[in-house]
Amino acid sequence: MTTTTPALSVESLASQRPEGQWSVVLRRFRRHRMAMFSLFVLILFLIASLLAPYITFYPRDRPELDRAFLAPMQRNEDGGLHILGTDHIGRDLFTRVVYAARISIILAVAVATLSSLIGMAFGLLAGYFGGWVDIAITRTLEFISTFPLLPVLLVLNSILLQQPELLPIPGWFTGIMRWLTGVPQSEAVKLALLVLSLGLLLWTGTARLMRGMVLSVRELAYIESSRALGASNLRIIVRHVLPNSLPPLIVDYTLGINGILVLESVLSFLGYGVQEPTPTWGNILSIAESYMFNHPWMPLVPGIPLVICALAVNFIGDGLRDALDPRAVFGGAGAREKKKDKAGQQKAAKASA
Amino acid sequence: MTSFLIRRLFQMIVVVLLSAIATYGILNLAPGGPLSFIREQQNVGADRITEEDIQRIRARFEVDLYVPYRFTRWLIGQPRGPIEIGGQQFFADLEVGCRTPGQVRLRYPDGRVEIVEEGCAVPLYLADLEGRRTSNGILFGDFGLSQVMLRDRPISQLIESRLPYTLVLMGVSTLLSILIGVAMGVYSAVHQYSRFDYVMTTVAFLGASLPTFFIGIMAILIFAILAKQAGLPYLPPGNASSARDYVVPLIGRVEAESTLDYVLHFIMPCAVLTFVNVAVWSRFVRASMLEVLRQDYVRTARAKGVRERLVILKHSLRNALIPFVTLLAGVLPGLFAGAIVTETIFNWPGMGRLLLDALGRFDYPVAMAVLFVTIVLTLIGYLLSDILYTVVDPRIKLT
Repeated sequence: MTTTTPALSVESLASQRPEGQWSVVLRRFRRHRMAMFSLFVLILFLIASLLAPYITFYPRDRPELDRAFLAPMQRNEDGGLHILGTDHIGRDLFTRVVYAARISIILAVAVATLSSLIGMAFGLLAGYFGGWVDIAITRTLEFISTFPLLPVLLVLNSILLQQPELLPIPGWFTGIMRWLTGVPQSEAVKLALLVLSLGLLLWTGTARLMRGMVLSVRELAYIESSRALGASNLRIIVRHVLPNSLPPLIVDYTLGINGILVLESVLSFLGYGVQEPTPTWGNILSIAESYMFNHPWMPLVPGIPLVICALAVNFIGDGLRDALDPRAVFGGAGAREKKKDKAGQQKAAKASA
Repeated sequence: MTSFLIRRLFQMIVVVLLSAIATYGILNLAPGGPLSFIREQQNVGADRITEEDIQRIRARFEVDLYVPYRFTRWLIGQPRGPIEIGGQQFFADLEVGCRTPGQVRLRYPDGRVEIVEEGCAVPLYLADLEGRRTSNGILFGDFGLSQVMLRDRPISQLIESRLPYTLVLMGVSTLLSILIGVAMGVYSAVHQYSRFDYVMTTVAFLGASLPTFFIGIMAILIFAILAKQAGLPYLPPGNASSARDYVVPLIGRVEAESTLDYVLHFIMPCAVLTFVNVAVWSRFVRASMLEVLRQDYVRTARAKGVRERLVILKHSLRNALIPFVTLLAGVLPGLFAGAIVTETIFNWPGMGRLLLDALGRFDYPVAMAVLFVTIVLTLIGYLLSDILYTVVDPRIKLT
């Protein structure tokens, strides 16, 4: 029995395929404890928000004026418990925060996805084809980047909120937003509008990153050899260029979700994001801010989940960055050093604070 | 270098023109001009407004001009009337606008009648523009008139009253954050993996990933509300000064609008802005410093027996700060435009609030002026950072 063991292992090694890129990444990501924990927390948030109708006991929007400003864990006159208290018109804050979780997170993911896709498409075109396509796209990027982001977003959203017909929204898009966020049709239209206007403005960073990646990948020998074998542009892009330029874009995408989560809350806070009664953490916080002098607990209720979520997404981004970096050697002193450096490289997109 | 500057300046002018067109275009799509209120009133019929009234109002807000002419009058203050060369007028009968729009009665099959504006009944010619009040053009520093916030008074008055607050807030906080950010970044890079380094990287991670307004709200909660409730010395939560005297424990009576009053109001917004900037910049300096400390010339300097202080300050820091220069490009427009979120939370009467208020009250000329100046300053900031690059790193040649 003991003699067969080595033979068996050699055999199994020989027949095994080499470990694929993505399984290496997955293995590395799983070692990042904060990232795994953050992923767990984020999934918990999402599950809770999807189960909103079952774990909350109050209507989302109906005001109950005689129940306004109940502190957390207080009971109303009917004996119903308000775990996180009630807001200025007596709506249960726990209910609103749980519903808001879904809307805030989905909104951030949707905008990040949309802007990443647009940015990738333009970056790919500019990087792969070069020439006048590249010039046109890079000039446009430069032009857009001269605009101060937050003021322009404020202007655009203030216009769009009053004249939604300026940005035509395809029906299927509203449908998707409605299905994802679970809000009524009239609110879904406004959400879709916000997603589109943000998505169409925030793609420039991704485009620049993608262009750089494609430019470096395009010159590699395997692209040349596959062209020599007669592969079409489409095949080269889909099979070789895209997969090889993806890793930094995945990190960019994750950190983008965090940026947009924060941006949406800032916009809602300033009054140009998602409008009442649709709850998001940003607009609940905005209301809480005006009553915080008499009810200091109020801003904490939407603020803490927002902060936890923002941190979790950031940690996941960090973990992905480490997992996707082929130069990082895990377990050694080098890995530790590598990891520490990256915190500094990360550019925080703080739009005019 | 000279040819680079000339080319860059030329490019800048083109971009400024394009940006001006873009901002003007965007804001012209915006609803809620001066006429919308008048239309509403007219529809209600409270006191009837005559055709002449409407014509006069349209002329005053230049709504009767076609957009391209309105735009050039806003940008450079032209055209003001027919071009005169040697006593002769040219283009006097060029149609530049529409004094009264034509009205078409639409009769629906169900008997409803609706009046729709279409075409132009009385056109406006270039000769009619003569003698009309106009700004000298925003390019020449005339921002025009505010429509709502200060009725018919120059926007420059608004900006004059707000700009000092923003300059002080942004100036002090930027200076502080550069000093603190660079010092902290360098210290934690030199003492990598020390306790200070761990604390700093963690706090910087928090500061850079949290929304600014949440940090601001927490600051108000702790230092204004809870401290006051606990009977501790507290900071005023908002505004740049207070209207009445108040008593702060330990400090005593604070007179309204005294220096102390201004200082107390200033601390919190400045601290929050500084914290956020330090969080971002110290990480940047730290990463860049770590990179430089690994270079061969640093090892050589140490091997030659150069004192550690000198190695760090002279050999390393100067090189580590090169990429930092790009971050400073954003400082210039920030000094003018202010910090929208921080100013809103602390009710600070600066430029960021001005833009927000102008948008909220449909005073688009004000918003346009602020946006335009911000964009121009952004471009100048880019140019300055390019030039600064050659100063701090002589290897870089601008061509």
